[in-house]
Amino acid sequence: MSKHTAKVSLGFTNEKVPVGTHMCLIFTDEKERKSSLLKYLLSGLKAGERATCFSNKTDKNQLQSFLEANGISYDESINNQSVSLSGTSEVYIQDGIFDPDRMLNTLRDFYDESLSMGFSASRVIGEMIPEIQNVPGGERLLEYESRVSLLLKDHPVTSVCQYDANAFDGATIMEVLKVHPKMIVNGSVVNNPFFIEPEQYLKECC
Amino acid sequence: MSRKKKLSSKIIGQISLMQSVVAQLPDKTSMIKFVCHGFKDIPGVENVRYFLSDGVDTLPWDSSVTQHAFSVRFQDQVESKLIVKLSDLNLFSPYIPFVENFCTMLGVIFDKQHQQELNITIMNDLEQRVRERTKELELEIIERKQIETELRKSEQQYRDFVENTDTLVTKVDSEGRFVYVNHTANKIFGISPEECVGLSAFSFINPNDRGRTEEWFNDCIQGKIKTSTIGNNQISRSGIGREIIWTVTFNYDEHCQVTHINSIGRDITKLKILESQLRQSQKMEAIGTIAGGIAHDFNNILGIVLGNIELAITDIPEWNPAKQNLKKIKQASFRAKEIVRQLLTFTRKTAHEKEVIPIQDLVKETIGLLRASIPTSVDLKTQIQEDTGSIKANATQIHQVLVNLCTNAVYAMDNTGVLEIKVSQLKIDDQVKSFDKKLCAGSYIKLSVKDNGIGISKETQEKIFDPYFTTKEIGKGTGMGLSVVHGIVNGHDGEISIQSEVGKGTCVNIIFPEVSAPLTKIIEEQSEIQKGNEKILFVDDEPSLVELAQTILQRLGYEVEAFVDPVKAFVKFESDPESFDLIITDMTMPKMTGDQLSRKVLKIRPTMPIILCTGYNNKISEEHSKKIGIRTFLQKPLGMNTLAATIRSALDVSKN
Repeated sequence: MSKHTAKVSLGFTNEKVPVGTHMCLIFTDEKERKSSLLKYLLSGLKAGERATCFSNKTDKNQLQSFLEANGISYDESINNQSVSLSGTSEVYIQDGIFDPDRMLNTLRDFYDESLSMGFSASRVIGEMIPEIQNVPGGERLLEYESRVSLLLKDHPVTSVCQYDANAFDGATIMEVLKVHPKMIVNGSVVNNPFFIEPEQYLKECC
Repeated sequence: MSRKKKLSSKIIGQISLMQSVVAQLPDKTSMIKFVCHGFKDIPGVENVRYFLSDGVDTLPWDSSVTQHAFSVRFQDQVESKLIVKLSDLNLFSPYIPFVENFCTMLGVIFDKQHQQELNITIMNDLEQRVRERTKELELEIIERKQIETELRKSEQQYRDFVENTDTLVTKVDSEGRFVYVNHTANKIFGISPEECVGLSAFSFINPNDRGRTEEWFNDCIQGKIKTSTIGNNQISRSGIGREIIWTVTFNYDEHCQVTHINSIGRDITKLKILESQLRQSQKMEAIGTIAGGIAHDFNNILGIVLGNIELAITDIPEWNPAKQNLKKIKQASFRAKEIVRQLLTFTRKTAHEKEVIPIQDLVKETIGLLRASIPTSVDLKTQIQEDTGSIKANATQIHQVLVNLCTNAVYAMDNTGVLEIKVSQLKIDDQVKSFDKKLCAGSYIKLSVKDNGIGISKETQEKIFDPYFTTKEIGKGTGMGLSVVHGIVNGHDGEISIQSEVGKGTCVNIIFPEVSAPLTKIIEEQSEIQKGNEKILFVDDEPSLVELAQTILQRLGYEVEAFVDPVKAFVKFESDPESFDLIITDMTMPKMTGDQLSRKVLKIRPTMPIILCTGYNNKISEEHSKKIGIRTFLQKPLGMNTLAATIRSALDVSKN
């Protein structure tokens, strides 16, 4: 759970959440995924936050059109590094392996950089891909997610993890619930009763 | 609160969240895995399994194990069961209603998902059908477009054919009114196709043919005739007649009643004219054959009469009054000879054979024959310039031209008036092409036939040469006369024109190109008889003529050997070819004709002088005679002077 009191808008819901909240969005509809992703980034930029996105399905043109339709210059945002877009595969899988430590360092660096660059806050939205489970280190996905919750306590990057219910089986989805303190259900942010505190989860399950 | 009934809000929250999340999972397997996994967090639960219901109430674990089954109903039946293995029933039992509710909801989700899958399947199926049908329709459209293109092409071909053909194409309804007529209507009916539509097709038929055609039409409409052809004469609005042969087909309604008649009309006017000309020429040929036969016999008879009269005149002294009588008989015999010659002129040639003819002779001969058929109330005046020149013509056709023009003139004068026939020379130079601009500069011969009859209006003059155009009453004229004249004049490279004024009369002018004069055919009768002493072989199958010729030739001083049998004559010649100086032979003889005999003789003695005589023979002409080497060609009957001069001439040429 985030210990930070400042609240940020997510863009796709009226609710505000404390900065550094780790949330999970289970989706089956591609439109829903894309809409929430773009609105989330836009909301961060409007709030003066630094935002980044890991997605294989979202391309530069979609983001550019959306931002410019909402009065934000894409090129300017890219140039001042307030927004960035990377493919999930290239971020999560490097040299053919998934390394949770490297990923956590990346998150940490992102947070620190954002602070040093003067952004009020930072946020990330990542679309998880099932291929991660099939590469070396992929079995540590839930460990990674749990450790993200731990990291965010000191490096509060507001994070949304998008899981495609069509791509992950029911058992995995249930496990995913256990490592995200908040769930986005029907467009609303709800507490996740399945969530297991990372210290406990990492101790019992990993 | 007993321990048994204590509920954890976290567990209730989990169950509630599961309800939200499970609905998002894509399939039953994923849902079940999710649920089995999630239910393990419920207090008192050791394990969870899911079974598809097979109707047997079996449990996955041993009966000693505490377990609880929850039914998942799907479409009003227990579709499957969720079996919960319990480690502590007391801890679990407070959650049983929540799990039961969850399972009920799961059944609803399954049902909904099933419906969605069904909808997707139906939609996919529908979309697939739509795609297939669309593809079929696209193919059908392509096919239809191809068919339409083909149809358009075919229609265009049909239209081109119908609209460009010279053939008349019509469609009439059962009342005989035009429904469709192609452009040929302009030519045949003299009005546009649009004007024809709605008019009665019978209104254009010559009254002579109308009744017969109406009767035929009614038979067609009543189904008595299935397919048919009919010929009739169509009269255009401007009065021009055309012979049309119709081929028809029928359109029927559902009761097999004829609704329309489709007709193709072929204009056979020219064919009819040719037929008419052919009939005329065949008639002339038949007359010629008969006349030729008569002339042959008649000339032989005349020859005997004339020869004997000439001998008698020679024998009778001047003081004897009988001598004058004999001279009159001789004159009459010459006139008879001339009449036979004139007859032969018009009958001996085939229809299209042309020869160089002095036109004044031809016109004079025709007038001679016409006189008898022109009423005496018509004053026939001729003005024929002597030495007018010759034209290359078919004598029979020129005769026909003059007869037609004179007949028309007499009709126009109602058998009373002045008919003038004039022949003159006409020179056309490059500067003055007065007669007709089509004519080149050169020498021409002009033939004019003028009457002082009723005259011809300007309007009538424009169509006067059209076939079947006539101003005469029905039955009195064919309308072919001037059309035939026009055809003949054209066939002779000539031109025809009409000058006429209503109430004053008409003058038809014809001009023909002049050609060089023909060879002299007949040596004129000479007053002084030429004699000789050479030896002559005379051959004729007519004994009287042989006897007469022998007498005449001997009186002229010649030594004569005469034969009635050409074969015997040839044998005699063959025995001593050099013994004869001249051969005179008849043409038409049994066993061997005159030309055959001549050929055989000339084969033995190529320079042998031969005179070929003929009463009439259409197989040989003077030109043909000369081609085979015969020196002279003589037309019977032979006058003594002519015979004497011809013999002398042939012998002298041979000696020189």
